[in-house]
Amino acid sequence: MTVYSKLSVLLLSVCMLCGIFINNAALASKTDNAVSLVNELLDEVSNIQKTEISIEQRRTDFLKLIYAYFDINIIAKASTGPYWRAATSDEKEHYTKLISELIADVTSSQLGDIDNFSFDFQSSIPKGDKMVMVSGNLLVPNQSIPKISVKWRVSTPDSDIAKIIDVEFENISMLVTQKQENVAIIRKNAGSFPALIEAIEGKLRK
Amino acid sequence: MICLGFILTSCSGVDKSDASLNRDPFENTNRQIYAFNDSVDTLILEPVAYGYKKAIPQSAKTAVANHVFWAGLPNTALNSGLQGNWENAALSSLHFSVNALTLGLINLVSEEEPPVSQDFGKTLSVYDIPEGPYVVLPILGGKTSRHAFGQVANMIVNPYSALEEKKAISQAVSMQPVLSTISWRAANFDIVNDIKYNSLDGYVRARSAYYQLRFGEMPSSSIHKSEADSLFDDLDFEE
Repeated sequence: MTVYSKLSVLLLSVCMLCGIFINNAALASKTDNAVSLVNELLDEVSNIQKTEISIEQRRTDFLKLIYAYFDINIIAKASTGPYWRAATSDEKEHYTKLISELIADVTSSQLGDIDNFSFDFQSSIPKGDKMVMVSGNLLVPNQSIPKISVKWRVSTPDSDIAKIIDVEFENISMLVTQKQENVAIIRKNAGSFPALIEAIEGKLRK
Repeated sequence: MICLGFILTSCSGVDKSDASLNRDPFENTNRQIYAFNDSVDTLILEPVAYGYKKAIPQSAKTAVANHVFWAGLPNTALNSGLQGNWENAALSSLHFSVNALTLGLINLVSEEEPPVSQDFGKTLSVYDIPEGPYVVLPILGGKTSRHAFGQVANMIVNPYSALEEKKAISQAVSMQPVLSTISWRAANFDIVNDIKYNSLDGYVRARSAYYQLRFGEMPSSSIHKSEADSLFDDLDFEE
């Protein structure tokens, strides 16, 4: 082997090692971002819950969190399955707004007056190159179920932006459940996307 | 699992990932039974669970939950053995024997990882018996046919028959379905009410929650993809 060949092999090896290092660093950065995002969100939720405000104000505060921490466009798309493509731009926009309000509404109602909780982080695992799963237990003292297993699916595209796209409580994915309900309503109404919008509007009015 | 099924169902152009059509061929009939179970829950179980939740001290509720768990341990031991999970079988036998001193009300075996509940439905899945269609049974609630069949088997093959002479134990066991139902409904009061009152379609939400919960409990769940995993595998993240 000539000196040039040896140098080429050495250079190639160094490049490969750098590639692996950069890739690992990028993955580590994504998982760190995802964990930070979840912790920040939980801090914000805790602050809201500890403040004495009206139910309406609480919903508004949760809605701000939904827009800040969740990838609502992906959620809107995933929660309507094949019917998303058939919807008009106006319907898509309207549905995206409504589903955000519905999530804020449900979160506010489910948390009720719980103001003392902590998150016991367990793991953060990359799922493919665009998603990280953050797992842990939500510890809620003095409640009938003091420990709830939670998994957060965080979308981590190439940029540094991380956004939550799904939350699983005890293996029940909120997005899968919402999608199945949505699809059932659209199907019941002969494939009408506006029927879903109407159903959500009706639910929010209650 | 009786109470779980009952509660989940009482309150409670297609893409390839939507398996509900194949799973639920009797949907119309199931919805009617679901409506009946929903009424039973509203009229009886919900107010009883509310009273239990508010009036009973937390320590007593924990004792009841411990007892319900303890009462299911013989079935867990039997099914763990049938599944070849000897560690869980031994652990549940140990927990049952030691805690029998308190009828399971107080957990005398403090371990970080308690035995994992098993039933005949899960055992049948280990032997690759198909899950069958989703059926909603009056009072017992919605579940796969395999799970429903397993539940009947659980009742017939009752390991407590060996303890027939122990009157206290057999009396405690006869109370178990009632206690477990009330205890579970009270512990999950807000979650179940959320399904009942806040969902767009309570039947579909209850069915979806059942399948996802059950999947997570299956011995094979770690080697198969969950519905959420499949959903995101198929999803195009680009707008």
